[in-house]
Amino acid sequence: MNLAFTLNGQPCATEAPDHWTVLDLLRDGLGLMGTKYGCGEGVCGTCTVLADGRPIRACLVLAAHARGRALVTVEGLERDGRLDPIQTAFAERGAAQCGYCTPGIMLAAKALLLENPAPTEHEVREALSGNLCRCTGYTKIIEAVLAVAGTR
Amino acid sequence: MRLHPFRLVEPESLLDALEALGRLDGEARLVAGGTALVAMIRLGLVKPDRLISLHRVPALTQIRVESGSLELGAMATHADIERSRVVRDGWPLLAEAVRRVATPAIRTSGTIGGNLAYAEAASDPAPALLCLHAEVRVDGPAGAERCRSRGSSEASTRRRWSPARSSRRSAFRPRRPAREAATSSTRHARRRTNR
Repeated sequence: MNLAFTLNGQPCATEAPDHWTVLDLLRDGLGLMGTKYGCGEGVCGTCTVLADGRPIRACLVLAAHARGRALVTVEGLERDGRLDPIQTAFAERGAAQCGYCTPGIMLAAKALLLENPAPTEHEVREALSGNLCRCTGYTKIIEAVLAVAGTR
Repeated sequence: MRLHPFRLVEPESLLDALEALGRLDGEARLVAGGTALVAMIRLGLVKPDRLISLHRVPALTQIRVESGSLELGAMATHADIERSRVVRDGWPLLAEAVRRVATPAIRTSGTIGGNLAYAEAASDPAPALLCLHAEVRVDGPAGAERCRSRGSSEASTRRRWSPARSSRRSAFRPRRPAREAATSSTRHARRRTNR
């Protein structure tokens, strides 16, 4: 099937088999390896990307459902060679260890800050509640997001 | 890991969707947001050859008030319902209930119609709709019918593996409750969850 959508700010027209998910499309169709395959069931959150500014599970959303929407992956957070403030905060505060969950967590945080630029800690925790990290214990991740928001 | 291959049918109206459902009777599954069905396909629990996607039927995403009743299209997402000013002001119990579904990214894609059709025993919106005496309009190839929501875990279990039949529901009409009743139900729900 034919698909046209916006990917990281650029128009994208491509083809994909009917049974592909957005994750298949990004990684195997378009070669964007920043979005990770974790559980494949929508539980772990590592495949989280943005669709029209909201977080989605790339492993559960059919590629066909991306038609006409604006997708943002971790590759699209950087603009003109400059990291997104979320990326800078994660780096400065050591909010990643193995890094496998990091793209999904940064995009979940991005979605939160787009809608609510000054979240409370509770709101940050709720926004990241669908993203599992088995290394860090979350403290530095929460601190990094709050630092970007200027609410800590 | 790829999904078991299927062909996707993408009707652009409810009429076309019902026609496809009738034509592919028993072979096709309806897919709304996919948060349940795609996971089930991934786990090998179902292996449909065809999916009929409802994401191109714009009329099904509506959230509107008609003669004092809230009308939700089956494809209205949890994220849209929880953010809807109309729902938050008039049916706060429902807004509270959909905010409790899974996690934010699931709520972006998951729909109220899919949630009821899947009939998960731990569904958050279902008891809220029961409290609000919601009426469910079910469209199928043979026509439409309305049914008043009522509690029955037996019915939920029976319907769970039969999306071809149960996911024909296309619209819900929670009747406007007294504001006090809605507020007290919301508080009740919160107390129970905190236990």
